Amino acid sequence: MATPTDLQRTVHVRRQPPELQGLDAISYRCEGWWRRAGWRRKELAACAERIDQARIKFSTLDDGGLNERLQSLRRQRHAQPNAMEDVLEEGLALLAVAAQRELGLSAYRVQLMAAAALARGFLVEVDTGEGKTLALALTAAFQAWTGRPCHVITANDYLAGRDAEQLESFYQRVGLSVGRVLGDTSEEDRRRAYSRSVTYTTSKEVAADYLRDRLRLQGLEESGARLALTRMVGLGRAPGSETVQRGLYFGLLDEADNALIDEAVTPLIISRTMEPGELESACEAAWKVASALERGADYQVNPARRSIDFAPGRLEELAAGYEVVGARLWSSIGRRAELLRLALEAREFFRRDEQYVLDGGKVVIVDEATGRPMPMRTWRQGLHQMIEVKEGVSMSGASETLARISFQSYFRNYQNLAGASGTVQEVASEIWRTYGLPTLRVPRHLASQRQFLGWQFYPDMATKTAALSAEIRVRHARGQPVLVGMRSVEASENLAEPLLNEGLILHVLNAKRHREEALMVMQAGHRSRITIATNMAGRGTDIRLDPTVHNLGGLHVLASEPHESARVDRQLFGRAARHGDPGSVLAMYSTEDPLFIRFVPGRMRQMWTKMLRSKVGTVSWMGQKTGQMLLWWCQFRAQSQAVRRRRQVMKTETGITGGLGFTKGVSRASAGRI
Amino acid sequence: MNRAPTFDESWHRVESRCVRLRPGVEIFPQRFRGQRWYVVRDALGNRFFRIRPPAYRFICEMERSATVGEAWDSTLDNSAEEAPGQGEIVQLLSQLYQSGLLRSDSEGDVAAVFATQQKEHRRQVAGQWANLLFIRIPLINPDRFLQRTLPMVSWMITRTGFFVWLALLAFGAKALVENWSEFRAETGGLLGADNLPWLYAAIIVIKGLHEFGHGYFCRKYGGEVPQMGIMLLLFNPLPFVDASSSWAFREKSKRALVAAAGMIIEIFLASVAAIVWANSGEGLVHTVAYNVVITASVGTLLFNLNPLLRFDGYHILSDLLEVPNLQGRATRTALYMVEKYFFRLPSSTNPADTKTETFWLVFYFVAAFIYRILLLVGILLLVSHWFFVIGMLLAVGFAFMWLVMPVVKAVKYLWSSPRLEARRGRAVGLSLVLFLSLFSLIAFVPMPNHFRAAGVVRSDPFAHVFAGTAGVVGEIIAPSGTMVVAGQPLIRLTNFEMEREIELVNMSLRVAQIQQRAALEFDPVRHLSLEGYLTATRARLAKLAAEKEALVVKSPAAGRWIAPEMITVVGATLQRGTELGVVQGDDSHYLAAEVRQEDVARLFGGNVNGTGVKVRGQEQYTLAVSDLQAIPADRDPASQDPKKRGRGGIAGLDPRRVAPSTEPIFEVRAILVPQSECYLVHGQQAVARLDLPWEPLLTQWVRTLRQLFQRNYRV
Repeated sequence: MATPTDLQRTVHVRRQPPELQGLDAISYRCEGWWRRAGWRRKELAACAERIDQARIKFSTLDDGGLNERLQSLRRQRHAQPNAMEDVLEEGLALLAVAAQRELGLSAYRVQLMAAAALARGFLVEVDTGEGKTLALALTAAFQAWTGRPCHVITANDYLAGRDAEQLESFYQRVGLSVGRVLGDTSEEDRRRAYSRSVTYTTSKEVAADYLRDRLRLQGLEESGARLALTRMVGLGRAPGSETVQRGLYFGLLDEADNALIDEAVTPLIISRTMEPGELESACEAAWKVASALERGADYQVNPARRSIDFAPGRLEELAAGYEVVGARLWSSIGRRAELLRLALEAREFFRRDEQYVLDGGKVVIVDEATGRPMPMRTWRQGLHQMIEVKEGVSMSGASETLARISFQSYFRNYQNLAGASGTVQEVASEIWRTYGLPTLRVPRHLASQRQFLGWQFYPDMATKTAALSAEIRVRHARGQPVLVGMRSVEASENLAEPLLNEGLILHVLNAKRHREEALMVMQAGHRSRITIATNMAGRGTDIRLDPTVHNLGGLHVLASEPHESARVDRQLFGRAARHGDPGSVLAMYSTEDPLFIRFVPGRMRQMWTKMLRSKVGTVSWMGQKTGQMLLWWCQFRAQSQAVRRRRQVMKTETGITGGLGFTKGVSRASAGRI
Repeated sequence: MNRAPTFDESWHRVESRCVRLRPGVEIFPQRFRGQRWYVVRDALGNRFFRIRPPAYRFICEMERSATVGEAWDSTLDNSAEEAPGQGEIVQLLSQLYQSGLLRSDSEGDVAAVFATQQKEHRRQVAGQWANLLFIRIPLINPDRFLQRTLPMVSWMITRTGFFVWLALLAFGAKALVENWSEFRAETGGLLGADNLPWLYAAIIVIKGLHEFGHGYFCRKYGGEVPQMGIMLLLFNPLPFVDASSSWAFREKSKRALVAAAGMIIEIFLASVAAIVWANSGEGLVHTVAYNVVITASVGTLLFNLNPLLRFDGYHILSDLLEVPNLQGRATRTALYMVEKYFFRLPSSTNPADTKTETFWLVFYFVAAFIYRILLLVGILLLVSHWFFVIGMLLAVGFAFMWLVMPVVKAVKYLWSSPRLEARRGRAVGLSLVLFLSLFSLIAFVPMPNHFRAAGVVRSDPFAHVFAGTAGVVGEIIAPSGTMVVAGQPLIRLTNFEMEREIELVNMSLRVAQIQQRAALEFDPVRHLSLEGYLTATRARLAKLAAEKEALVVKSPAAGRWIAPEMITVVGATLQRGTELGVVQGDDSHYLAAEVRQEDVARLFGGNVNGTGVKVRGQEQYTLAVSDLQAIPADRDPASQDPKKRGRGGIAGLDPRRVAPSTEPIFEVRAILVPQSECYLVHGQQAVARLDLPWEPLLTQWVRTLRQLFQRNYRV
């Protein structure tokens, strides 16, 4: 039975601080530097040391004694959720002992340090393969003791399911329950999973559930007290209107930079598909008129500005012949011109297999940045329909947006957000500004044995591919496992084909089936294995080396194309030499890689290519040096563009939310009806 | 035609909402440049919004539809062509909501309402601080008072009133024209210390009546006048009333008339005061009337009518041109010109519709900017002359408002304006190049550097001739005006007593000689003492002889002997040391200028490249200088500088108040090369221009500023 307080909590979100400006913003940034400063690490290291001592002390307890201590501490935490610091060290030590007994995993001191930092609301940078999962679990259990819901958000369904399963015994031992929400979980199961102490899920699912809950609440989410009151007096108990979540209190993010930065501006939309109506018929008419038009004669295309110029008079002549019954959009001259423009844009600027692919009779958008198909996305109203008309597939019908949120806005709603990732230093200041999370780097447990072999630049794609295959052959011949990071499917095929012809066995993955890919990546450390993977494939999976591979130099990672963000490159590099194993990394880029094409001015790139082609040693050495500088510069440019874009999206969102404040809250008319 | 797209991503937020305008919000139709607009007016907050007819029609639909979505549907049904798109509606609703004009069926986001209110409040406060020189403090609501007293003045705001006003203006102008020279003569005393209180009182009273003029006109045409209070214009308390409700008037002429009301009153006052002034003798009434004329006419013309400042004239112009927010539009147009032709931004849109309009808007922007800078400099020079501290504070304030703030805004714009997204590199680069070249022009490129010194032409030689001993003027040997050589006798004096004395001394000498001889035989000791006496007497005799010699006054130098008065005093007794006349050379002159120590150092050490001297009255000739000398002459510059002495208390200020300088003063002598056409006379005023080595402007300015501070603070 949910108490009124529990009900009140189901809609809890963090109150958003106002956007800071001027001196406030500057002082806030200064505070960020202060909070990220090095002395914090010393403090936390001392704290971890104390926890470790306590852990050793508690490990002598027998099971009964341990359970007793755990239970009393859980009660204390539950009674005084805000007095976290008092019980932090003892609690984490006891939890570490419990984990050791249940999972057989002994927490290193750095893991304890990461756990303590997570509990204090840091975004922790832990090197890949240093045991983030356990640190997150310790903190999750510690926070869940308060009785407030704790969401552990992982990179994909496979990881969420795997972690929930593996850690279940640990959570039960410390008096907690665990649930998981995956893509295919039914609504009832979701409600049950969210009612557990700790819920493992992915960012997409948890945000979508949040949005669906808002739709269920119909405006009551603005005030928990009002919600509780409505429920108490018996109103609003309509079936299906129960929420699945219990409020946003603790959010623990695995691979935090992916959720907080890379996916930050992706909007999550809950929409309802409407019956094909007037928009569709108008689109069809517009397409027909447009197909009668000739480029150059009837309209001009401006590729640089991506715009189409045409004289409205000529269109009117053609359009007059088409009558569309009941389509008001078509009867207006201005709207008709707009539709025609859309039709021409669809024809001139959108090409199949570049901007979109056809998948099962549906138009699926391809993300221009990553090249991955995005089945969830649609273009703006009208354009999407127009492209469907173009491809002759059945009209999906205008989708009516019911609710919409960006991940950025969603994560800002957590009362206590913390996260761990392998790479966050690059975006520390942005994370602080957007989410108010200070960043902390946790040292490695064992010194890294990774050998960075540097960057090599090639004048064109062909030479790069040749060099890559040569490198793979050399390593393979020695029996060393090789992992090649690619960015597009096309490039990976270009590389794979000659190697396959030679009879080599390649394992190609491209971030589609998380489970299988995770297994494949896990085996990437086997002897003589060649794996070609996109940067994202199998993220968060441990690569274990064969014992025999250790002597051969461990896993050899080849980066074949620079990413817009040095951070993502670093993630790929981090796949080599985990857990203190040996490993090596080599980056092989060419001047024709998309990043360079996009950001290096044409003449500069020609010069650079010439330098690389040069037979003279010093000149081509200078070419390599130039390449490093250009790489840094391009990634810097790309990142500052991305930062600006994210800030702009956030500003627009706050602007709209502020401007449309009247739409919030429960409507008076419907309140009477409920 | 480029219009906003039909569909919008935020539509789902508003679609199912029931929204109405808040009670008390009124909509008036207005015409602007032949187009129909609707003014949404919030009577409580006294805020205004202008919307186009399609938006107006949508609001009408909204008022009778259950939801926003339905309202949009029916506007589409009525006229699909004109119906605003979803995005436009979302924007309209958001604007109306943020101004508090909207009411919805939902409880609303209380926190957001609160935040909006706070933001608005902060904006107002910030606006006040940004307009530090025009702070408004509302005090009372004068509406009822105006309503009650309106019948008393209402008859004046008619055609008859206008003719009376016109007649008075004519009479006033006549009175002024007839007494123009007198009027001008009195301007000197305007800023005098004893007149300042009167001047200030006149300003307060006139501005008070000015504001009541606005209030009554506005009330007469049915507008509300909800606020009255004090505005601190340049920290100077002045009254104000809020007649902005007149903006909602339908007729342009009425809007303009309300804006002009204050000036009408002032001109009226000025005319009456001019008549009173012309017909009154010296006295209190005369002074007060004079002050009223000046303040009401000059103040009105310079400030109120001037459209370059944001006073009445600006609002009238903006209304007559039908360009609302003229200044903002002009600024945006200027920005557009920069974006289009300098940064070559493809997406920039011109806020002006035609080329002519673009030209005038840019012209207005530039003119207003220059005018403001001139006003700034003018006020500063005027004020810092008397009130150095206040002048400096004002300078800092103005400089912050009109120099620092625009620069900060420009940097912010370059740094973060989303419009520059595509061309930021170019924009920043070009601006940097422009700034750096401007800066290096000022800081590094040497510019002509002059030093000007005012002084007096002196003849060389120039000698005063004094009476070397007392005597009666006997004979004038050389008449005044003749050329004399050195040592030439000029005047013979006679002194009868002196000749007697010489005789007496001669006698006593002889007596002493006889006594000495007598003592030689009997008293050798006495002989010795008489010897001493004799020596003394001989010396005295010699001195007397010299004095006698001096009775013939001789020329101390070669030149023209000038003693025009001498001929009139023949026979008179002169004291020793009386000045008889001067002897001055005709061929060679030099300019003696007082120069402060801080400047002297720059003038010597081979720094001066060329010097030219211009004599007052003969400015067409520039005299060359053959040599330059500095002579320490530690004297009070105020009494030496002929310029200052001549003026004797600028604009009614007591010259005693000018603190005497304690810094050393040097006399710089510039030996002039005579020119046949230029006639040089001893005592002429002249100005020397010394060409110093070229220096960058920045160095020159910094030095001037430092000297200014040094003079005022001795720092």
